[in-house]
Amino acid sequence: MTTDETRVLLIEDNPGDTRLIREMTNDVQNMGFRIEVADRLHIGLEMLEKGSFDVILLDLSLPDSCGIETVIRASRAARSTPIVVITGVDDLEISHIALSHGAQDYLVKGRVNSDLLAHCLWYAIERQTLQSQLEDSRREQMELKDRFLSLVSHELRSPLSAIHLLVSNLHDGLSGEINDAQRESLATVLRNADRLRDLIGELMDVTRAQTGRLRVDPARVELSTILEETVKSVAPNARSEGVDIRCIIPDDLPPVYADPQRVKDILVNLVENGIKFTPDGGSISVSAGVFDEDAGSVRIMVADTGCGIDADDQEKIFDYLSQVGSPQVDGGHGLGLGLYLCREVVSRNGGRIWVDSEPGRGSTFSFTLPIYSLTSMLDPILTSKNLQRGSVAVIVATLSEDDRPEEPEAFARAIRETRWVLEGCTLCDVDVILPAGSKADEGRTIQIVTCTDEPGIAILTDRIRGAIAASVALKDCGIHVDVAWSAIDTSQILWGRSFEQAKEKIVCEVERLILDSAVRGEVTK
Amino acid sequence: MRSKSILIVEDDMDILLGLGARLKANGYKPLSAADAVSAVSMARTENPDLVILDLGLPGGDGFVVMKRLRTMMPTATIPIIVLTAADPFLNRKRALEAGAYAFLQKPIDIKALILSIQRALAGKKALAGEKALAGPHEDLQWSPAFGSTDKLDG
Repeated sequence: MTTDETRVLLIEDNPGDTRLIREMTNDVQNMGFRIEVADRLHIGLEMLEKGSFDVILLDLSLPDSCGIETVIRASRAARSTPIVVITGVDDLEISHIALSHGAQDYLVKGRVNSDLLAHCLWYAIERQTLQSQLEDSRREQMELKDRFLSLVSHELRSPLSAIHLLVSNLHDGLSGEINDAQRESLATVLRNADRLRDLIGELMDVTRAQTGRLRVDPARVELSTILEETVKSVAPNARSEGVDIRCIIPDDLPPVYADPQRVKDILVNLVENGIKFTPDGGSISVSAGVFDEDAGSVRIMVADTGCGIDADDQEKIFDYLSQVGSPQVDGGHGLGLGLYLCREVVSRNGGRIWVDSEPGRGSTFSFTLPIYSLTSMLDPILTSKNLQRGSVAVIVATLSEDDRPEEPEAFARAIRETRWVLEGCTLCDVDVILPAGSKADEGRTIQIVTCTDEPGIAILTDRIRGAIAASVALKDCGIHVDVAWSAIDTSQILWGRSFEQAKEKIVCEVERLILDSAVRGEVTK
Repeated sequence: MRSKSILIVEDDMDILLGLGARLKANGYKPLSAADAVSAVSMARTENPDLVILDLGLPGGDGFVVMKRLRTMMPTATIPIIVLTAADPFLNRKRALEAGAYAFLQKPIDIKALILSIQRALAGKKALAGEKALAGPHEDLQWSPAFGSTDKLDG
């Protein structure tokens, strides 16, 4: 950089300031800055599109844009070109917002000399380069982990598969009659092969959790059903260990928004742990309720009368590969991954997990899950980084009959098929397909909420339209699907509000759009 | 009635052996191919009723085989059950899109495989568990719900 000249795009409408900045950069000896000037934001962004610049020097008050909006628009267009704000407004709050919206530095006119300006520009370029390198290396590491996963999966599962197959052939007498003692031994081999298979599954899930690939598929979930089912399924196991197990659920438990399969997994894991550590004659109780401490959540508790956990270990047991407790305890999750996965899964479902325990008296594992509401469903979007740069859009798929008379069953099938198609088009961390049964989804519309910029919305909508047009199953249903979208500009909403207020406002706006689309869906019927 | 023939495409000889014995015991006629090229020629000459296909094969992966079988008669309509140790996260969706009847994971769950074969041969749709997880949220099971209670008596 020191030998080549540094290309600076100066977006500034005041000729006096422009001259001043030119002079300042000329002062820096032997360090060539080449400055090109735009006196309007849109002209600057056009120039940015055409030429390659090393850094953008951006005034905030321009004839066609002013304040923080200038930063937002510029950083959207700039992608990997660093932005340094230079402005007459000395305001700490604005400078913070500017930095959080993608500016690398914030300089106040009149307080800058030539050395400072030069350093700021170079450091901005340097930081941006570092950031991109970091991003690249992160991506590389993710790919490496994916490859590792694939390898683990294949190399461990293949030989295990052969063992399983041949032993089960022997066990089932395909290779000749065997006696009872032999059959029992072979059953033991099979059981251990199963355990190995489960451990491989766990290992893969852990690797996925660490690369952010552990997916959850949340839906409206009635907890009482899941709790009762789980308790019923582990009851025989508990009985054989001499442990009493019961389930206490209030009638008015609100539904939660979580992945039902995952919730079941967590519960089974906690209850089986409880059984393992509870002596003969002890008891386990599974209960749930709404507590003031966990706002907007339901708490589920698994309490045992087992050996308890030392205070020092209570935090550690949720850690990766933690080996707390006696290693000689028989069976179960020898790698110490069970509770780690529980914690990962709970937090992916928007809850938290902890343990209260008194050694010798027992432990209570508790975890929370968000109550089913629009806010909880939109959570992945509301915490998304895109929120600061983009828009939140509601994409609506409206179903209507082509020409055949209406059949309720065909419609149900079509809704299901459409959901399938939509799932194939969306990303689970970024886009939310609102579950059926929400008030938005009274029959013939399905809503997807997404957070991206406007071109992103257009691309997603096109992809959905294409996939729907290509779906043979949908054609078979005799159903026509219309896709439309409307968006809210989040940068407008974020501006001047605290993040919490802004989130609330966004949820309100999304709700309005959804209701609106539901009404329109009715009309087109 | 003639017993239905099933072509097992698998490069692991141990699995080939074990699976062949199992299919025979269930009244099927097993055929075998250990690489992509012989799998395609075998399918053409023998015209089996069903193909069990591994994805990792010498001489071209299972997807190549599937593509070849799908694009020529009479093999285009033979149901293909993919049975693989490859990561379902990366492969399940792709396999089903390429025209596989079902995607089953190794280690083999004999009961599920036999059931899948029976349904495929009867011209029925694949069960939800074999297919429905093909969406973006595939392969979610983890221990202990992974299925440690599977009974293996086919």
